[in-house]
Amino acid sequence: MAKVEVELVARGQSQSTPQTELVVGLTGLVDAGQVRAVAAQWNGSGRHLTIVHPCVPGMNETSETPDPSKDVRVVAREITAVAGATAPWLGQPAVYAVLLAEAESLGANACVILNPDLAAFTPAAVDALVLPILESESDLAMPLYRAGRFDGLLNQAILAPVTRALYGKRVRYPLAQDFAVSARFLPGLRQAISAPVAGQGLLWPATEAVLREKKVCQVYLPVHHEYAAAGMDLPTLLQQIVGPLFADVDRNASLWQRIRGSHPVTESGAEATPGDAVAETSPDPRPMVEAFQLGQRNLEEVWSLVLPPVTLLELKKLSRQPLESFRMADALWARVVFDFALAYRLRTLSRGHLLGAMAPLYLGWVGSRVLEAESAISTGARQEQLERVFEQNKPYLVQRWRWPDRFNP
Amino acid sequence: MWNEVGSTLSNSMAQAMGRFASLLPGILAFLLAVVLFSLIGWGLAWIVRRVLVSLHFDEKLGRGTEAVTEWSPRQTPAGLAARLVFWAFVAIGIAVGADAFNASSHSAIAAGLLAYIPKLIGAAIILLVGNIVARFLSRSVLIGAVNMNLQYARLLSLGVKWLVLVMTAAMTLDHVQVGEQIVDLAFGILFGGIVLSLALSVGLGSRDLVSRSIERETSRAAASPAQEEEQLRHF
Repeated sequence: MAKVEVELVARGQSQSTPQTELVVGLTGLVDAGQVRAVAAQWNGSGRHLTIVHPCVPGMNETSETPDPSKDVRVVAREITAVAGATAPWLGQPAVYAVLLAEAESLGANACVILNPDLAAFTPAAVDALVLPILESESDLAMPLYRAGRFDGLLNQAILAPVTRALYGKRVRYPLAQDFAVSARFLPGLRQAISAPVAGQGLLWPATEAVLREKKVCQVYLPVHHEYAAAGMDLPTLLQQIVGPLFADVDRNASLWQRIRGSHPVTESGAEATPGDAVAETSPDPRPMVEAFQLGQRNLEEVWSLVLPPVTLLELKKLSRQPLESFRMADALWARVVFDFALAYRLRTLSRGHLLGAMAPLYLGWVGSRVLEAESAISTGARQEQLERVFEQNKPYLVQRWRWPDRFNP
Repeated sequence: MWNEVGSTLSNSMAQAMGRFASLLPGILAFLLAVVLFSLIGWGLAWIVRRVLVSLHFDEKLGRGTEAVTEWSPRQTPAGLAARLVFWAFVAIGIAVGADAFNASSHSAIAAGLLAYIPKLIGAAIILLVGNIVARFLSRSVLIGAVNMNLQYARLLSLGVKWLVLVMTAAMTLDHVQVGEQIVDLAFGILFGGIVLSLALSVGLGSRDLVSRSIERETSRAAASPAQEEEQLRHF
């Protein structure tokens, strides 16, 4: 059993900073007892491992002088921002900054960031993420989750296609909460998350890796995260996830306009076998289609501030389709997403209103995807089709971005 | 006799021209003050905008930025601050010019009219703010109601917009002291009438529609809320 040493209070720096090979950072409030229990079972293979998790300032716990001979250390860092996080499953920039700074100060060879639900906090998952960093000299290891057809719909609809089209990397989960970073990439990532503009958004590790020309890979993770956004209404979800994506697109406009095409990313690990997949029942698409139709009837005036007349006409025709033949074309959806990204930049209307007005369109896409689910084409192949269409429509975004007045509705 | 008529007319014309000529210096002073302060305001606004942009003012405001720019989305906070500086100096220029005009004219009518200018400026500000608020609130209600699957979202949105506009108009007229009690009464009756109409139309006229809508939402929520959430995971 690996020796575990616990340092419970960290006000400022540790009194001594033993060398550590690997830092595992948890991005939210966790059960310290559970963390210590997992850490005690860790088979460190001779590595020095430090597990860092945030705690609320004012926790009154005793501290112990760290012993360099211990293999595994558990460190709690006081971070004010973590206490006020409304969506801790998203990760706060302040928390990331502290975790990455800790890894950098300890001279770690790699830093693994994990979701605070601890689903990926297992030796197998951490080793899977770290292996490409330590052996293949990758700078960033992103996860590949075993997901069903109706899992991560926002990721399927917007995050992954936009990241691929704009930044040229076929990363399936660009906003993953479990990823590993090399020592070479640590300073750049920490600098990115510590910048003033970053305080308004989320951390996009894949985007930062592309900006700094770092090597990215993907790792199959046998992990299932609970649906943390349960009970959250869709407009709020769009504001918390899609808003920062659009802000990131605006910030990096000078980069992604120069990128052409996309490149596959190295994958490693054992992919889930088809037999492992959980049987899914298709949800009823009717409420989503009705929500889209209600949006089309009432929000056309608002949409007309964002979308060109051609797109509005296509949406109107789509809203008149019967349920059985309701299919939102990939090109239409791609142009809608790009137009909303541009409107976010131009502040055509208030950003809260913009993302609220996007909700019925997104639900229309979801309804269309549910209705397509009966087709024989696999989820992976269908997603590949969608992302390729986003790539093909990138020139449309570039033109509108550079000459917004020319296409003003 | 015609000589006397001609003489009287020419005397009257001379008095009028003399009176107008006596006002000219005041008018010139007014125009000069407005133009000068506008130029100063334009220059200062440019400097303010450059300084704020170099200090990354928009980014450092953080979440506060969104609260400010939600009301006027086309402008960044730095842009809004620059505009505020410009129009403040224009308003100061008008005030200084009015004071200069008053000092040179010695006319009670002119003094009374000039005293009315600040009220007009205030009324214009109330109208502008009211319109912005009405547009923002109506759009918020419309989008929120659509996302809540309310069929009467547009009706709600229009109702909110006109309520705010009517209130703005009443406040504006009250500020410029036009009508006074009549405006107060009319506003009270109109506002109360709009609210009562909305309540009656929703409560009585469309109660079947509302009850069906509520039933549909309740049954949809009660039928399989957990199942629907399990089937669809947005993130």
